[in-house]
Amino acid sequence: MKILYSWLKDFVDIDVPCEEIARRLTMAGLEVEELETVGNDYLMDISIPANRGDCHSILGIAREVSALFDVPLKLPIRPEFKEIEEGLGVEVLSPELCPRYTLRFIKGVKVGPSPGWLKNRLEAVGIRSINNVVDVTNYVMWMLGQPLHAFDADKISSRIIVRRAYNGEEIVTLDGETRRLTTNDLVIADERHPIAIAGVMGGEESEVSFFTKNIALESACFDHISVRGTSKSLGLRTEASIRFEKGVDISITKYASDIAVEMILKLCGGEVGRISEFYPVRYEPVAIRFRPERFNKRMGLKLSLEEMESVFVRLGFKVDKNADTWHVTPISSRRDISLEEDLYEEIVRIIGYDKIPSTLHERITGVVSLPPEWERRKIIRRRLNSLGFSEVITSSFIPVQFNSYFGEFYQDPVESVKVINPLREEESVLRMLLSQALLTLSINNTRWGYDDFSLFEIGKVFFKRGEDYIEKEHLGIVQTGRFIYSWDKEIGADFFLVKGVLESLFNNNLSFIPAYYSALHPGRAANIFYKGEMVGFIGELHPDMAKALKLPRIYLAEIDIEKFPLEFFKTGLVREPNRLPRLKRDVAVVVPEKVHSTKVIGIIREVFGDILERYELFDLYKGPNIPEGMVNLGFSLDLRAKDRTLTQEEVEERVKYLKDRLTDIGGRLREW
Amino acid sequence: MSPMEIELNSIRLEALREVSNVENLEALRELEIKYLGRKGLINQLLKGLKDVPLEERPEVGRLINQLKLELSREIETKRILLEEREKVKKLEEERIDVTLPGVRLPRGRLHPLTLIIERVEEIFKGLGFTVVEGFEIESDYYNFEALNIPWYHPARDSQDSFYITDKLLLRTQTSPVQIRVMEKTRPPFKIIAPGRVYRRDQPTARHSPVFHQIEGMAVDRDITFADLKGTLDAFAHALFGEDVSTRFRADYFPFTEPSGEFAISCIFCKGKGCSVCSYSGWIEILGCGMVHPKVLEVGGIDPEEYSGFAFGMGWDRLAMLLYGVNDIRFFLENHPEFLAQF
Repeated sequence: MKILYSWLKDFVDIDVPCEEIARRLTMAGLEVEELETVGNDYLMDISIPANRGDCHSILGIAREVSALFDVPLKLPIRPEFKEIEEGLGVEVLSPELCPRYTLRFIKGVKVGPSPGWLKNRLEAVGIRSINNVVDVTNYVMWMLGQPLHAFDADKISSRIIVRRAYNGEEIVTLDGETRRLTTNDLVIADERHPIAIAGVMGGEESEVSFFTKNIALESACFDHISVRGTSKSLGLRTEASIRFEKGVDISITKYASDIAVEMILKLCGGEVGRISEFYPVRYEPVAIRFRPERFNKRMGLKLSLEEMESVFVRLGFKVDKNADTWHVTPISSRRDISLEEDLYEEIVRIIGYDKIPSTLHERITGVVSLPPEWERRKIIRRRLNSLGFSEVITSSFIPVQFNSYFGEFYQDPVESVKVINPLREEESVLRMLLSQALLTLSINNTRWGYDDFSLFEIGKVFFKRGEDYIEKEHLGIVQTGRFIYSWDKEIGADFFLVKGVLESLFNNNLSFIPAYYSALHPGRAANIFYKGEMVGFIGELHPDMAKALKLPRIYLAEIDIEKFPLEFFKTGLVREPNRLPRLKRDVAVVVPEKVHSTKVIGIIREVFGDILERYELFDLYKGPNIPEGMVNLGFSLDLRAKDRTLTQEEVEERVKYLKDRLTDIGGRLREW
Repeated sequence: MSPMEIELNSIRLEALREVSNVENLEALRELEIKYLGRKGLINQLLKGLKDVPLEERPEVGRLINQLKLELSREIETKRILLEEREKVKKLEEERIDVTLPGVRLPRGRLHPLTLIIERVEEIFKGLGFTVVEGFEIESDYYNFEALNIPWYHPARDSQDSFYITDKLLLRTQTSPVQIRVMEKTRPPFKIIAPGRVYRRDQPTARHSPVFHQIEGMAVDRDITFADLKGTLDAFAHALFGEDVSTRFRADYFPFTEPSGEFAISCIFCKGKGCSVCSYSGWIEILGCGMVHPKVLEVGGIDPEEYSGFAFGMGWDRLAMLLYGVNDIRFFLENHPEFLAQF
């Protein structure tokens, strides 16, 4: 809303620099976004909050200035006219959408260009000058906030009907566009067809032109919800619709019309005809309870009763004082005020938020615990950081073609979640797995020329199971290119690197079972289990897919971290270090290639039981000296009992037992 | 001198010459064997003593032993010398170019949004707040209706939503968490609720359809508007430094009354006016207010008994301010060069 300082001064006697007015208005919630000098005048551009429809006018801003600076408001005096008999009838068929309607007939106007001062004021606030009649309607709208519309009265057949449009009814609006209407839209019609869309825009047919002699001046109050709906459905926002949808003051419908008529007479001549008015239910502002003591308590202030009352008086509100409970009646333009708290805001707004003290509410003190999922996330982030992986945070939207990638993770039928009104069709799907987002990210990184990256994300995934929309927190990992390297060594782009990261992160509590994923390398993919439950997957992106996406060998892993309670990651009670001597024993086993290493490890763990502290696979060998179809696995074992010093004999006895057990799986112990 | 003595002397001279000429440990060991070995020259001389006339034997024996002692001393000295020389040689061979680059080790880094939220969390934890989180797929009820934003409310214009169904949408703000917390928790409580939000805005440097907010809410008996201001002052000073000034001014939100907007003096120009603060000297960081009585009622809390305040701020925006980032899209883009700076 653009406000000219000189125009504002028509309504308030104020002698304060415009900068100060702008500052106080901003503090009071009417942010002056720009203040520029125009000649020896100032122009303020004010952003009006959604609830302050009353401020879409010079008058509204003047009221604020009057209250803020405690200076009197000067309102134009309502003019008196000598009326001639002629006029147009009005019938309102939809009073629920049009609580008040007036139509004034003016005969014999001379339509022409506006005088310079009028043109200048309008142009300064951004309105194009059309002709003197239209300019007056705009001028009064800007001044009082009441949108007005002038019809060429000779283009109207007999009388005006305010009604809902018929479905499919059409009108050509002033901008030359044909608008198709529905019964949700309110129109101003004559007996034949609509001549204006109520509160939004007039029709081209009845437009006031330089040939117009008689005019019908509409000043009305339309339902704000209806105007907003029509304006939205037509995609047509006008200065009028902006004001109606925020609510115009129903008490000034006729006053605004009279002020405009007076100006038209002055600028265009003519005779004043009858005014037809529809206003069946007079609006009376409702008194609101106000408890001064509660006000001070809620705001943390210590204002005196006089200070509170003074603010209401400055705002033009009526105050009915009883001992503890007052009744305050706002002015009719302030439809935003309906609750006691609204009155609180008025007082602090006018005295200034800078008068509010700065205090801290101390009732809740002491240790505050954070939710477990929050703590869990922090621990995982730190662990992965220490393992050399960096965090990314990606968009929830993924390219639609990745929609079902890695979907095999979900064993029951689930669907991805789609947005019905996406910005771009290719980004209409929410990620069902973080791997889908990390794949997208990898494509970008590669395109930007970054070949080595080791990243993770903790974030939400979304899917639909039956009728339920589900959000879960996952951990996703992606690794490609070099991880650790120098001119003479290199580790990276390796299934076992990513697996090792997971093993470290989850304290070796995961098991991995080969799995099939259409988007993963058939020989390098596994489902991940924790306590017998499937919690994730790991694998190399299928080489066909990598080729199609122009990606190098790339490794992905994903874990549903909600399956791990916070306690899993926390250190509980610790045990005392075992100070008994530790025995080291290496064993080499030769087993058929088809036997998974976990099987062998399972046997070793079983055989050595609780004296096995640690084991490490240090060698895997196929080739000469090893029979065809067999593989040699070298394990180094750290052995120690909790309660006694282990003897070599005891260890060898177990090794002998291991030898026996290996035959069960077609393997044997390899003697050194 | 007896012929024996002459012979011993020539052996001695030959041995000393050989020892002094020897150049490596291997050859030295051979010399040692040649002279001092079990079948070495000295032992042969000792064996030959029996052929020496009896009266000369003691003297010759003494001379042989003296020679043995001398030779072993010489060999030992030479060995130490050679060993030292070889060690030096080996160390020299092991010389590396210490100016070559070290092994490239990955340093795990956190995303800037994480770094920011952890600072914010610390500050509010100190003020007695805990953290809660809500759903990103929300119903129209929680996202709008319950927050005093009916379907026709103009505030919906600025929050164009992504819809999943006609009743479900991607939340446009973290404020639905307010309702969810009130439904589950009896006052008193103080919470912050960080999270992802969605608005159907074309991506630009200032707007992203996917971004993040941090909601805050405190409800108790006699919480005041002054407490809101004090809490925000404390927060702003902790995050942006003690030297920033703060500005609290009126604003409008459907779910708070009175409502306010909280700004800090521009941290780039110190309030003098620059492009970041649009030459106003102030940077708006959050919207806030006293929880609207209708919202408290929706949450099942009696507005006569309790009062509360709430605030909401742009999480990405905080990161933009604190790291001087001028394009909000950087955060979800994850350009390696961007992330490598945190």
